[in-house]
Amino acid sequence: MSDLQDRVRAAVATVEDPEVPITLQDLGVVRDVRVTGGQARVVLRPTRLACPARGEMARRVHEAVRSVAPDVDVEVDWEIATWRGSDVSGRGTQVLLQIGYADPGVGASTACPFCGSPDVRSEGAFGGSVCKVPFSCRSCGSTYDALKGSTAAAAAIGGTRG
Amino acid sequence: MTRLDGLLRVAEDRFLHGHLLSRWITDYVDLEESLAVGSISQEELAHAATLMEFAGLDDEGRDAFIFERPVQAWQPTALVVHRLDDWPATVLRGYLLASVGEVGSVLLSHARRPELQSAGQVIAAEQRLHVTHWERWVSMLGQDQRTGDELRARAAKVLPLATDVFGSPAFDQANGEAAHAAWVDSVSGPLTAVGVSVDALGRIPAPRGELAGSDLADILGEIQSLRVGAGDGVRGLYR
Repeated sequence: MSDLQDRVRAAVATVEDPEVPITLQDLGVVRDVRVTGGQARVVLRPTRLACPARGEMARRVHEAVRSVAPDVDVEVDWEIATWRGSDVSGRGTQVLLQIGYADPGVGASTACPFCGSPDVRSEGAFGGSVCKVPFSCRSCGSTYDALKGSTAAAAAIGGTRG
Repeated sequence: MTRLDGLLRVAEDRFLHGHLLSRWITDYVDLEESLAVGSISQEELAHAATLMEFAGLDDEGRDAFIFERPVQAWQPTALVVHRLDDWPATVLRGYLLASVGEVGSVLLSHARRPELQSAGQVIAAEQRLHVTHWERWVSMLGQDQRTGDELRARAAKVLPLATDVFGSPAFDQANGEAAHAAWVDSVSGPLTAVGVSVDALGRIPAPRGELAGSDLADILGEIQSLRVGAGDGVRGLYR
């Protein structure tokens, strides 16, 4: 792998999601980064097709690549394929739990990320943004979200995902 | 007509439905429903944009397709060219169109192009969530004695508008007929359970016809006004 490609990949790996404080890499949105000649191609997969942050994500990726490779042309391609909670990295899962999201992992429960109680209630299939499913905890009273595409969200809205 | 034309006809339906739903974001039943309808509306617009992209339209092309074509060039289903401003009709239209979206997108998942197959799977899964949402409303309204009669009365007006959802000449006839039959089967159980006969949907798709007397010109005028409205610094974003 070239030094340039290493630098570009490292830069893209630092780009944060505009809404959730987690990197796009850890969220499983970054699917591929390749540098060929003077061209960098970054493939992203949205968590939902209607994610309103796609434009800002692409802008941040462009900015990150240019910060380490100003002469490289950047192409951001959106891969229209199913995003799953299992695409979140182990580190990403820890970040999500720390900031109050349900565990996105395969087979994970809907347990409250604040107190760990399984005594929680689904608040419907639609939340404050298209990728979120709201829950509330009967034990500690906290409200929190699961990401659509995770097992926890599927438990609330039906279907099997992971 | 080509397969790409078929994608554009579906995109018109999804875009217009997304736009029509958006009024319920502010004129809403309750807060949770506002969030749901807002999300469904956003996803309808996104599905329209995705289909337009696969039909070969870039950003500028999509913009022109929505904002610059004359009303006569549009060929949407009759289901999205009437405002149907009341909630029971909105629920029925949402349910019928979400089911169409799921069934139609499953067809895409058999397309030759792998990326179109993938898009079909994603759209079908997202539409499934919409189906679940609207189906719950159909059941609630239909089974409650305070709202059941109104739902059934509105169904008598709404279902006949849906006979052409797979009736565009842009669709392959055999695929259109198979999709129509699958769609009617998919909605038959939940609608029949609340006393709504699906006979009005027919067994084969009706051709998309003249849209004279519809609200389409008015609806498109509303959409296109976003680009020609007063220079208030907000609408300007859409120019």
